[in-house]
Amino acid sequence: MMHQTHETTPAQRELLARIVRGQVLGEYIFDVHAHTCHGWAYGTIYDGSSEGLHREMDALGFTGMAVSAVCAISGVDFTRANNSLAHDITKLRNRIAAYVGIDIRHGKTLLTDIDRYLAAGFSGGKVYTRWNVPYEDARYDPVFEVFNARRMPVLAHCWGGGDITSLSKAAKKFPNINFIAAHTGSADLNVYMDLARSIDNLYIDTAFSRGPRGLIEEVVRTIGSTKLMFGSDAALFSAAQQVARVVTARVSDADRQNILGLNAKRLFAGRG
Amino acid sequence: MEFFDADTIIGRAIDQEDADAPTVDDLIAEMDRSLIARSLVTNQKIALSNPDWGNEDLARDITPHARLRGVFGTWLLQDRDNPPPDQAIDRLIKMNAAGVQLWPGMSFAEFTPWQCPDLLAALSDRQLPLFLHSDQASWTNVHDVLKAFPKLVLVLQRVTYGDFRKAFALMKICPNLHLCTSPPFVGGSVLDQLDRFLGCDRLLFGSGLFRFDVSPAAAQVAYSGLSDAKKAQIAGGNLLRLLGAIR
Repeated sequence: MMHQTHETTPAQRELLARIVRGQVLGEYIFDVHAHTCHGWAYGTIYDGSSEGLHREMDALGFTGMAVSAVCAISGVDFTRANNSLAHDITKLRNRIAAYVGIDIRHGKTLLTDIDRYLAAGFSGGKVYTRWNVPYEDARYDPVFEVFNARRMPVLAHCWGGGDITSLSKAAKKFPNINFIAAHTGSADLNVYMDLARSIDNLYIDTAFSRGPRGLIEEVVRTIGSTKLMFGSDAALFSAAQQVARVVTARVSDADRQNILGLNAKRLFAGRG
Repeated sequence: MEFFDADTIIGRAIDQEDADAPTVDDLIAEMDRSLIARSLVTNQKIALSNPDWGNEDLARDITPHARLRGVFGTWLLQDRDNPPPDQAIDRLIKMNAAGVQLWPGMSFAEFTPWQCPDLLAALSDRQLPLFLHSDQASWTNVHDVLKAFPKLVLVLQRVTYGDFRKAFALMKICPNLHLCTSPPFVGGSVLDQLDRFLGCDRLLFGSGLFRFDVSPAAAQVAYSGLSDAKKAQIAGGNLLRLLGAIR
């Protein structure tokens, strides 16, 4: 239990009231970590369509959302999943920023395919550890070169200190990429915070199904609010549930606004 | 829409300092901050091995607060020092219990039909809800209990989102299984999906306070794609119906 001295501000009180009424939140909110789930085996039980994401964005008042296709990053079907997302963003242009879902084992056409998706309007990359290929592995270098040359962000699934340490090596090697390490609090919180604090182009996101009370407060207390970004992991998770973790956190209005969207605004200029 | 929280715990968890243990005053303050009308509450001490001491503390703490109702503990193993389960349950109902919280996993017991048949029969007879964290029993054992005691009102709490399919399948064949929305049951559109196939009358809003914050769980209900009437059912209506059925 945190016996905290935080005073709920009038702005935060209003947001908490809007939550129980299910109303638009009314702050600048940009979700850096979301997914479409077409074809995902577990997705048969979720509304993983871009329309579903759109409905949730409207209900909550999100300004923007950065999305990757689950089936592209998870080895189900790189081409079909990224193509599907490419189709979706033509419908939701300027509301959804698309990450190219990177399957590092996709094969020889990976780089030309990434180029093709970027030309079609994708604005970053999403990498995943399912491949047992650490992010500092040389196989990632040509992929990161593509995003580094375009100064585009890359979201990286991380689960604990090993993953984010590996990512931090790539971040040092590719300084024009703003990397976002996912799932702060999953394990080794101190490693997340130390690396985010010490590496300019390394950010961390909030997406976490078991995000405990006090986690966001601890990050802000330790490293401030400028390196932490709101990520929901929707449509795998409820975007409403995840954004409310930030809204209710006992931090200042300015810190909350940084996390909800202002930090991301710089990385996704022109989107949302 | 009024929220009635079906999953909160006060008292010191085993990995906490005494001074950090959430109190009933902390609970009321959180309810006020997050606009939660009423809460069920249990006491951590019940989980840490002694239901009687936990019940004493809980009864003392919640008595001044009309917005709170207790979920008390009881013994999983009847021995000569404890009253028979039917008498124990009667006593809890006289204390205005909203249910019984069991911790078989932490009590070195099995949640099975053979572990505590008299207790499960007494709960069934009195329609006193049984609350259970999902990590306290296997899905197969939960199934076996629900089938052996079809009148038992079981509320499963803190189901992980990855177990949605198991929960869905079990709810389909066990109409006495109820599901609490407390984290990590945070899958996208899960409430909509459950309602579409099974209805929403067995879904109960719960926050998981103080492990988790209240507002996230409330948001999951409030921003679902369900009608206002169905949201109100999940927010508190279903729980009130269960409490009204206690005999």
